[in-house]
Amino acid sequence: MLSTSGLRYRYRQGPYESTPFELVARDLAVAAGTTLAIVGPSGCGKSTLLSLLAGERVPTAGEVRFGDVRVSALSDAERRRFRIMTVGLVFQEFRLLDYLSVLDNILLPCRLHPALPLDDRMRRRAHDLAERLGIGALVTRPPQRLSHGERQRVAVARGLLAKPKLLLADEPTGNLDPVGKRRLLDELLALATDDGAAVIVATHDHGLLSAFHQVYDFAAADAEVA
Amino acid sequence: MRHAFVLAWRHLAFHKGRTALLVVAIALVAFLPLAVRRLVEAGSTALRARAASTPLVIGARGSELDLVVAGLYFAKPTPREIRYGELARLADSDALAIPLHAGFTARGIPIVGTSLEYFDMRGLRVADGRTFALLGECVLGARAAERVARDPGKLVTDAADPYNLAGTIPIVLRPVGTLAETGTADDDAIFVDIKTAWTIAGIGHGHQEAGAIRDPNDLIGTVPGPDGGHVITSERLRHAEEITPENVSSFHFHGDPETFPMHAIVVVPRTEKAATLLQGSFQRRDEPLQIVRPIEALERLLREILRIERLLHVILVAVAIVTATVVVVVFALSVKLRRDELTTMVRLGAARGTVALLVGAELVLILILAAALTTVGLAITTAFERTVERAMIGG
Repeated sequence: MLSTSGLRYRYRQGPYESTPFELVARDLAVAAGTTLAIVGPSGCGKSTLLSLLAGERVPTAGEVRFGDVRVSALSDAERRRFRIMTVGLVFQEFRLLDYLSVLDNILLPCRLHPALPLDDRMRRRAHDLAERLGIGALVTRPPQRLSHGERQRVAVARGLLAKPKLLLADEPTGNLDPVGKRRLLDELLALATDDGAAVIVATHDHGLLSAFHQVYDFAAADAEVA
Repeated sequence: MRHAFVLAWRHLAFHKGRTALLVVAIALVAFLPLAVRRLVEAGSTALRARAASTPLVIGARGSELDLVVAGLYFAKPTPREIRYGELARLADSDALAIPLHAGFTARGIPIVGTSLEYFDMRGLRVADGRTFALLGECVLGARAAERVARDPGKLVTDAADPYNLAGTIPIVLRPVGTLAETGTADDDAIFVDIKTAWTIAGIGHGHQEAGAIRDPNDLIGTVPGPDGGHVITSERLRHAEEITPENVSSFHFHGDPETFPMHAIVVVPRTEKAATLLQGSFQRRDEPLQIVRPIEALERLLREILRIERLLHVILVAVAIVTATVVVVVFALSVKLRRDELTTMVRLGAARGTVALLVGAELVLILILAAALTTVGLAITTAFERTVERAMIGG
């Protein structure tokens, strides 16, 4: 379902950098209902690769395909619509809004794009996700009154709200204890794949790799940051 | 659009302190010039209306404005006294002349000694009771009546100078009527017959009948005279402090009423020609009196007030520029501080226009709140229009 070919991304050169950095990624393919882990050391380009797959960034060479759609060839507006309707995103630092309740944070994508209307179906879906992720009793609380793990779950629920066909998660289990990490990852993978989504998770925790169908290792010889 | 306003509102509500500061700052900048303009306009209109309904005022030579202020608003400083006999000079003119005695107060409320024609001239209507008919009776303006009602008890005139033993003796006034509210200075005054004002001044008084004194300590002696003799009493002779139907007949005045004091004469000429003739008759160089057209004196005052208002506006424009700059800086800093949050929205799929709309919605909401606060402030200032009117004439 998701595939890339010849993907390259040249970073904008900073004022004190003598040579430009370029991400060169080997081709990958992830089918619906399957999972892929992207591993590698900090700074290797895991987050950049995820943003290329999400259509947040446009590759300088190569392409990202999702089914019949050439994501990298879409216009800005089309890529935004693709993200909101097709992709679920779970960010590394949760990126929750302090001034919204847990429920409103989960429903936030509906307030950002007209293609995803905020209706009763979405509200029911948000409550259902909160229940399944064990934060059902916390939906009226502001995020700053939640524990680290609870905030993580809110971010996961937000990513799953629109029943995405592709879920991209960047270090979704960071800062959790080993038991907590595994439990949250299993819940995330189960919830996403139950709906038939392809799941790609960036992580530097090799202990979690057994949960995935495939592993994309940046340390391998054919993927590099040049 | 609706979602942008919901998110903006939640953000503003979350940062209550910052929001309140911005709203108050913007509201103040909008409110101050509007309130000043509104109050000056309302005050000017009221001043002009009052002045226009008082064609001419006669009083002792001196400040025209003081005479107008005392004659129209019963406010201090009280102009120099003129003789009651000056009214006779207007007897042959085609004009209505109404005496005014000002300067005394009861519970701080100005007492105006006048004649019943004053009520007709001003179109004052008695809402409750009747007009004064006897010495000591008074009619209360609408707001004066409210003030008097707040503090039940006898309405006693204030001592002009409590350390002057030869000065006025406080007497009790008896309210017999209340005027309907007019929204003018008449609401804040106590009206008495001019003879009552003279009684307060100590020119008229009442005391026990000297011939009926039985206590020898109250009598010093008698002096024989051509028509009987005079009784000389001691200071123990009891002076009446309240004029009642029982003792009103004992009240009397010493001296020639022509020489008794008043402070102004309100003149209503029946024709323009009569007005011109009257003005001409007070133009002599050695004339001790002056005749003033209140509208002209007040227009001069209003020109000064408008000049001050223009200066104030210049200051307020400078304050507005500073405030606008502060608001822009606060918003710019806020956007910078919210960079992560706004970036998250864009990453989730929001257009940059949606994010701009969100920030714009916050500004719009702050402006709406500031406008609402300004409107409330302006509504409240309406209650102070009378106070400002009095402040404009220094009362």
